[in-house]
Amino acid sequence: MTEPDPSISSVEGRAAHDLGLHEWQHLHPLSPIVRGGVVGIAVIGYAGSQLVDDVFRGIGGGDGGDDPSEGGLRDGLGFLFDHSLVTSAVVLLALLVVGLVGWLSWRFSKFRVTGGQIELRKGWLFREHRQVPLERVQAIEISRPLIAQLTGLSQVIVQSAGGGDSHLKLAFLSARRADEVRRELLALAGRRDEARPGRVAVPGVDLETGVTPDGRPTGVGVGATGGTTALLDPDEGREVLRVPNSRLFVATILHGGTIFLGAVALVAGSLALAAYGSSLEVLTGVAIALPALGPLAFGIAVNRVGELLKHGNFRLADTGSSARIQHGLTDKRTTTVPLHRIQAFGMVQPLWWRPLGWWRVSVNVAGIGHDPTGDDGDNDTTVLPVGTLDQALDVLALLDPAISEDDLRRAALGEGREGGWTLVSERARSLDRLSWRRSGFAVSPHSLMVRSGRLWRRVSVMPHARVQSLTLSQGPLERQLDLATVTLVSTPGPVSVSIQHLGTDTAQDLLRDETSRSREARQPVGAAAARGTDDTQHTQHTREISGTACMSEDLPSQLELPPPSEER
Amino acid sequence: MTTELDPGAVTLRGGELPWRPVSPALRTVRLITLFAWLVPFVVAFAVPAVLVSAWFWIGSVVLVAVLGWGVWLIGRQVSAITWIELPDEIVIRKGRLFRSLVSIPYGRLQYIDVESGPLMRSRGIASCEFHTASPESGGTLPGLPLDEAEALRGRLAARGEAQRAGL
Repeated sequence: MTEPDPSISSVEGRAAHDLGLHEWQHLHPLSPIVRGGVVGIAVIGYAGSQLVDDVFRGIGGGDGGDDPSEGGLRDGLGFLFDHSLVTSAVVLLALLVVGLVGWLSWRFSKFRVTGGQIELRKGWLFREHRQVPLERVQAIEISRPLIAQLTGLSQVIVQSAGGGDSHLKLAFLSARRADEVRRELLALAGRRDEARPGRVAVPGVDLETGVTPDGRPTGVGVGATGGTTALLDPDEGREVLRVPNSRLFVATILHGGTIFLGAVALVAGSLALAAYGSSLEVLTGVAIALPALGPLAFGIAVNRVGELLKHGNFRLADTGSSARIQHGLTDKRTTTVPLHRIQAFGMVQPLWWRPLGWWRVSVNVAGIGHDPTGDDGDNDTTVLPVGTLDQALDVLALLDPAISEDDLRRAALGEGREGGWTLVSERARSLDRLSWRRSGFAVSPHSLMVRSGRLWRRVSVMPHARVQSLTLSQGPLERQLDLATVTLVSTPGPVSVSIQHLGTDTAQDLLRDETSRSREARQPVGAAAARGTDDTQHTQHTREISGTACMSEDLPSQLELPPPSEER
Repeated sequence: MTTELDPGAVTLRGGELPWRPVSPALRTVRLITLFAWLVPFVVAFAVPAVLVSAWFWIGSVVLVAVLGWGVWLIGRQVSAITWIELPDEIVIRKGRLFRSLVSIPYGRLQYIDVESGPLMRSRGIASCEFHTASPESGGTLPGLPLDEAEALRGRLAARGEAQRAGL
């Protein structure tokens, strides 16, 4: 990141016109090259190797006749000479085509910010036009893949409600330009939010035009931005903690896969020692064992290195209304997590970290979809990749001060019923041999805490107000033991809040109590009394929005469903 | 109509609440689908059984057995789906072997899909899918009579708006 330009950081008084964003903007001319970088390098490498191959075949092959040593060489050179024109013509043509395609791609990729929307057009043959209403913008990140870093470019990722493929990527802009654009978009998106409650047009911004007061449905998305300050945040905020790369390295190595590989190597080594009785052969044994597990070892290594690259240089900053996470060893990313949009909190301590007392903390954030199939680089919501329990508690206290630290400590390390914990049923002992003494839940006025796992400790916390829906389920085995599982459904993310093997009665009670608790928590104080006519409810509702900065009011529009006649 | 109901009595099975079943037409629809899938295969085995070798009857017999099991299963599954509108949430129960119950607060509803294919429409039923901000909420209520599905959607949309809550 370049240093924030003071003139830019005072975005308050600026409009879109200053950067000219309301007109179609081209991306950086180098972007097709950077985007096609990996492919390009591969193609060039392949072509090069083919060429070299051809030359050597020409040299080595010769005419196979009289004098291979001299004639072969001469013929080889002759071949190269004869065909050099053709070769260079082909290469030139290929370069021309690639260049033309790249140029066209650049020529037809444009973006602009107008009418309250960010629009991106791409493609010449297959055109793509994507637009994101500013009011739906959840976060704006800057990301720098390795090749982009080398060329000094950045991409701006505009995250919107509605999951992974609703992101809009401006790839690429020069680093400075990317910063400017990000600030500008932040300012505009933030301003839209401010303008919304009263639907008052903000002087100097003509973005009100063309914006339907009602948002469009965003699929399973969660609606629009709520907080006004979440996006109005050009500066970096107060740094809360850094994770030293050395600790991250140790934590990354301490993983099931690497420990398994180490154990295999150890076993193979001792077998070799027993068989040959010399320490030199031990090394041979290890050397034999590892390649035998080659693909597996490779997979584990890739996975671990990926983890290291993802969480390297981890830095968490507090901006008051949101947490800013900077991470990435080579591909530097910045994720902004608006605090009011966090849905659930999770702490995990894998068995291997236990001797060191380390924990990982992650959260579910509405609108930052979690992609379980892998590439969640844009959507990573790990707020502490590895840290001590105290650090983890500090981070959680920062994210939600309403969660009691004592409760959390008990959830993290405790066992048994003290502290108001309800444990899984005694009948579940046969199913949870290790963890029946620990697994259970506790209720605080603010949230429901779930802990599980005796060796592999897990803690999940879900504020009552965040419960989406509740499910109760019972499989055949559970039914025989009169047990049931309760799940508090959250938005997509790494944290799941589920308590398995409760007694059926306990589970039903929990479902009932949690339903009413979350109902109470969702409603503002006094709303229960005012629940009479629809009108009073509605005013209460809007007051809640402005009070807790929870949510926009464009959600009701999503319930305006198409008329029945339009249905299949 | 639902105001006097006690949400405390929600149970995984049975209970005093007036749980409502889905339309029996759902059973017919599912049976038709099942037969449409399996009968061609039964025939496909029966033809070579007559023409080529009697061994092919094994395939037919197995498929018929699967068909019979499917008929039994559909009957049980459809009769296990019950639902109720409580003052603040809609509760759907499903399954016999793997029982499940989902409770969706009206204030959490983002939108409601009413869907019915040609087959379902010919039997006059539709399925209602309730969407919250989480794709996992899994609230689907199959096999409601068309007009009832529409009415339910309208009711819930209105209630959802009244009880709407922030995330």
